[in-house]
Amino acid sequence: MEWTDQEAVERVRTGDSDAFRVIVERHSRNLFRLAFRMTGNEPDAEDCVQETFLRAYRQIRAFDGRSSLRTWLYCIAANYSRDLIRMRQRRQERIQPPDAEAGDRIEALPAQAPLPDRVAWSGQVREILGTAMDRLSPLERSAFVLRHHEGKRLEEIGAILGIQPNAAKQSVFRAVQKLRRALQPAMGVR
Amino acid sequence: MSHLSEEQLMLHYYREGDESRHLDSCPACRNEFAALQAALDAADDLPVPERGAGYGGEVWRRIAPRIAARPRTRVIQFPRWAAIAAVAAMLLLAFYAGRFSRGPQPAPATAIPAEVRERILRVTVGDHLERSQRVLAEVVNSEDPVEPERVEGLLSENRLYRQAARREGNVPVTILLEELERVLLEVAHAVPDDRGRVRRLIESEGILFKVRVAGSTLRDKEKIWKVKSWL
Ligand SMILES: [Zn+2]
Repeated sequence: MEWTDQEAVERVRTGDSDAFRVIVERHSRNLFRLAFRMTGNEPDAEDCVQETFLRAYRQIRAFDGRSSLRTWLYCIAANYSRDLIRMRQRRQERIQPPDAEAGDRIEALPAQAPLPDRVAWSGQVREILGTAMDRLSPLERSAFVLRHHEGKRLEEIGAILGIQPNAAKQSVFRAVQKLRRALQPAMGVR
Repeated sequence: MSHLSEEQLMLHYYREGDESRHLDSCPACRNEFAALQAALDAADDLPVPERGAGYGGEVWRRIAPRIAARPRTRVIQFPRWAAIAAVAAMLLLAFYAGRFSRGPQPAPATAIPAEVRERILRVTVGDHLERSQRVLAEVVNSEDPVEPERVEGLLSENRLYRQAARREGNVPVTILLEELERVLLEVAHAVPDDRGRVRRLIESEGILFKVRVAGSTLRDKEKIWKVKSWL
């Protein structure tokens, strides 16, 4: 029984909750990848995957089929991830109040000693990037992941995150600038 | 001819713009683009933990109980007004039983078997916690104010369930509902300027987490009960 997403949705709507299983099994891995890139850690990503499906199930009647089911699920996941990052940042702020401009400052992470070994070097780049990703605002991070890793067009990103395409472009651009500045010392470019 | 801006280079990288002609003829911008490309390509290598082919099934197993216990199906078996009425009846019976037995400790509502009373509490409180969790999450995450009637409704149910839980001697649920009631009161009485303070309170008490854990524990217990009752 290989239902299309649309067929599975129809069945769920008639009360067949087992049809939802088809949807969950089909989309979980992709959603996890998206959620992990957005939140940067496994517990939050797992939470996001589950919450996305629960919300989708509750709101299945609101799915109008204008976009693909996958895009709709991405929309729920992206917005929930954004909430999670926001909550996490707020928690961190309580522990460690940020100075006023920290959010807007585009800064380079301190340069590390040059490592000749390529593996070690790429490990260092990853670490710098990971930290820089965590410093992005929730919106910048979501928009960047959707553009860079998921290949969504700026217009689609706007629709997913509920912002204008131009705001989506600005968010991606700011994220790119911040990541680039952070990487400059390691990449050896000025 | 002016050089390409960083934004134009980015749009070119993501193929949302085409600057090939300029890049073909301008070494300076070509260099700039190469640097941007190197930085952005590095982001491709950020590792993501692998999830195997069975992952979808695993996620399903985790969420299936919550989907099976959806309000839509529960409404038919166990309408909410009936649940509230049942808890109210439990309290009333307990009150009269205590009054007529004149013992130092009021006797429990003997007219309803203990197991049924426990189940009524479990289902109603589980449902109540789920709704409270949603409202608190909205307070924390959304900029829009939560409708006051929803909070008021939760508050009056909370009082009822708290009394019933105490009467049943269910200490953990009683404590949780007391805590929840304090937070709900703050939410109900907060003026718009208080939003930040209320959010901090919700987060510092960790109440959302406690409510979520307790809710899922009650749901699991109910699931076990259902399975046992089929055997
Ligand atoms: Zn140029």
